[in-house]
Amino acid sequence: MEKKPKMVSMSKRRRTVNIISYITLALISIVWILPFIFLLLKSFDVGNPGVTGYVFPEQWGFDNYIYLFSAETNFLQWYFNTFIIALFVCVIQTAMQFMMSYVLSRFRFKLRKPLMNIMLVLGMFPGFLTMIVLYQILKTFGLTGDNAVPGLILVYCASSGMGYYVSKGFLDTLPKSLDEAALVDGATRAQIFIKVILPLCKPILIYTVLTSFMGPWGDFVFAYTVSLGSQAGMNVAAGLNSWLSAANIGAHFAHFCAGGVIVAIPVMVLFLFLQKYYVEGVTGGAVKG
Amino acid sequence: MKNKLKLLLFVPAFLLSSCNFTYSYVVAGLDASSGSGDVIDDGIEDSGTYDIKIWVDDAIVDLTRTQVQQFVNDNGTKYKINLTIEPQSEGNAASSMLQDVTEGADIFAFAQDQLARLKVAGAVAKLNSTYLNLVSERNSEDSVKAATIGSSVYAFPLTNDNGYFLYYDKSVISDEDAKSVTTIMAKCKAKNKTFNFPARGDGFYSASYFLGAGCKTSWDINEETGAFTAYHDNFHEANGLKAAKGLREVADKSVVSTDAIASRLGERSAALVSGIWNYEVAKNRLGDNLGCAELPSYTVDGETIHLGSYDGFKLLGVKPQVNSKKASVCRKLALYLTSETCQTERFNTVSWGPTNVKSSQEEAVVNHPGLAALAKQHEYATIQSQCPGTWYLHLATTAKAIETSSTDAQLQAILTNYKNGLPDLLSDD
Repeated sequence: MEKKPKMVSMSKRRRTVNIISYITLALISIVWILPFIFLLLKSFDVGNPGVTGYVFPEQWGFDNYIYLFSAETNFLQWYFNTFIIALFVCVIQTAMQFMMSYVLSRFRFKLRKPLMNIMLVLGMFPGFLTMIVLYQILKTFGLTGDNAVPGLILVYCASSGMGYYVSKGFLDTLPKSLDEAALVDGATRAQIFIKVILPLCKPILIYTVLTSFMGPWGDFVFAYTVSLGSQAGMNVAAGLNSWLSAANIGAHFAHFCAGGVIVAIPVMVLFLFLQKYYVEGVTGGAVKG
Repeated sequence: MKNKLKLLLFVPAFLLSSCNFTYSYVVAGLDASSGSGDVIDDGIEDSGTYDIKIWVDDAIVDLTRTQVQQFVNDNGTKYKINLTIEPQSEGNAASSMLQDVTEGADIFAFAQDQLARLKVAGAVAKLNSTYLNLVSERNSEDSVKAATIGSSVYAFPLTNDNGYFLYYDKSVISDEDAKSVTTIMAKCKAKNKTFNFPARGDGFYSASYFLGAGCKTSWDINEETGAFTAYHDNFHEANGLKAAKGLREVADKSVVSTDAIASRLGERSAALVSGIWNYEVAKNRLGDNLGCAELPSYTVDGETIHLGSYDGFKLLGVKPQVNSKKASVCRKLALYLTSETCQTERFNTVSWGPTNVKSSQEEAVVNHPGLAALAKQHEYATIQSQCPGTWYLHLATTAKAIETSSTDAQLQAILTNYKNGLPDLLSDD
């Protein structure tokens, strides 16, 4: 008889906690998603192309999207540049990170620990500090301005091996007996990596692909610096930025928003299809190795 | 999974196939055909083929490309120009040039307050006497002053409209109301509208209160190095206190917004202080209800003070060249792009105010509402001179601090802080 009211009280308390939690989460979600909703709605606003105070457009249409794909802008060129950069970086960075992770996870050699510590310390330096130096180095190789695309691929791929932490964490969870069994069967180290380990690493592989793709996809600062005003070398972020100047924002803000939506589409598609692996990759890689 | 992969491959494939692989802003090989315009012969034999890169605002990229073609045509078969023309806002031109002068544009448009920085970096070539005479003859005296450091002229005047005036919605504010800050604010408040005036957030606009009250500021430049060596500034004196009191009035955030956004006119905003670059947007928003006028007056302790402003200019700079022939062609092209013909075309296309004397006297220019308002404001305006870029930020910070002050003593303390911060600015640029 004494326990019953206690259970009711616990149930009530849980419900209260849940209600508060959900309200808090809902509020956070609204705050998080509002700018995206505004961006989306503004991209369909054909009544006023400038910055407006309302959320729902007075006149709806696709004119802003049509403008992006017209000959009046270089949007397609920027988009193509961004895609090429992201694609190359995605492939190169994933390969480099995985090779580094495999070596550090499976091999024991002198200076392994110091090497990992050095990479940890180096990784703490903000990359932006090296921006001007990198620009000058790329310039000596003719990889700035119109040729910024290969230059940017180099910038984003440089030091990509240093981002091995998460994938090494995942590899550490795979039993070493798998490698040993394959060795006994006569497999080489390369065969073990490609045929035994990689198929087991799908979640972390996809996680690495996604993060490698998204880094250069959304970058502005490096792309803006290295392209130095060249339309042929700009990515979408640097290109769209030119529509935000005082002289242009009144006529181009809606175009900017439409551009933002188009930029988000590939990343959204990737996430929709690979979300399951992404979560598995993050959680798997977080296991202590 | 295979279907998903197919879709993943399809998206980039579609994007690739829809991409247009041409650089639409690169015009290869402009050849001579026919045309006419302002061509000069300075006696230098410079015929040949040249790669020339130009940076201008996005709004005039197409027009500038046409004008370069006209220049080529006007010179018969003398030049073949492989032109690369890229959009670059005048506000960012100096930063981009300073990042890498050698890779920067050969000819570029910029706001006049960036001239000192560009000179220090060796990014602008001095005009020789031939061009100096032509530029001085053809353009207004003030615009030539704007391109001058010490006794040398470093750029070609492009527009005379880099100042600001008042846009207002006639359905809310009458022509008479537009003469007073207090009345504008009252009318806006009554209709639940805003008066957009960046006086509290941008030193370029904050200065209007001080300049209107009779304050002066000027900075000395070492002609050789382009470094600032001294300043003459009395913003902290008695007139500055009047200006500070006036600024306090526009601290009412319920009415005054610091956003200089023309696209909100007719919606949330009923008045805006901005430049001619917002004219087309304002016209589209308000139509026949658009009013353009000189800046209003403010009242302090019973004294009515007309707001001052900066008369700003946009200039066209030519980068120093290793190849003297290319340098000659760039100078000629810059002179052509700032000629009467080109300035008039620019006015007709984007309403930019000409610095060319003949062009600025044309009926259409004189009667343009925005430029007419700017011309009226000219009486109260000060020519924008060279100053450290951080000075505008310093003044904006001061204006922001004024918001929270309630007594004259507090205002004076803020102005004293402003004065004490000036020496640090000498070493900033």
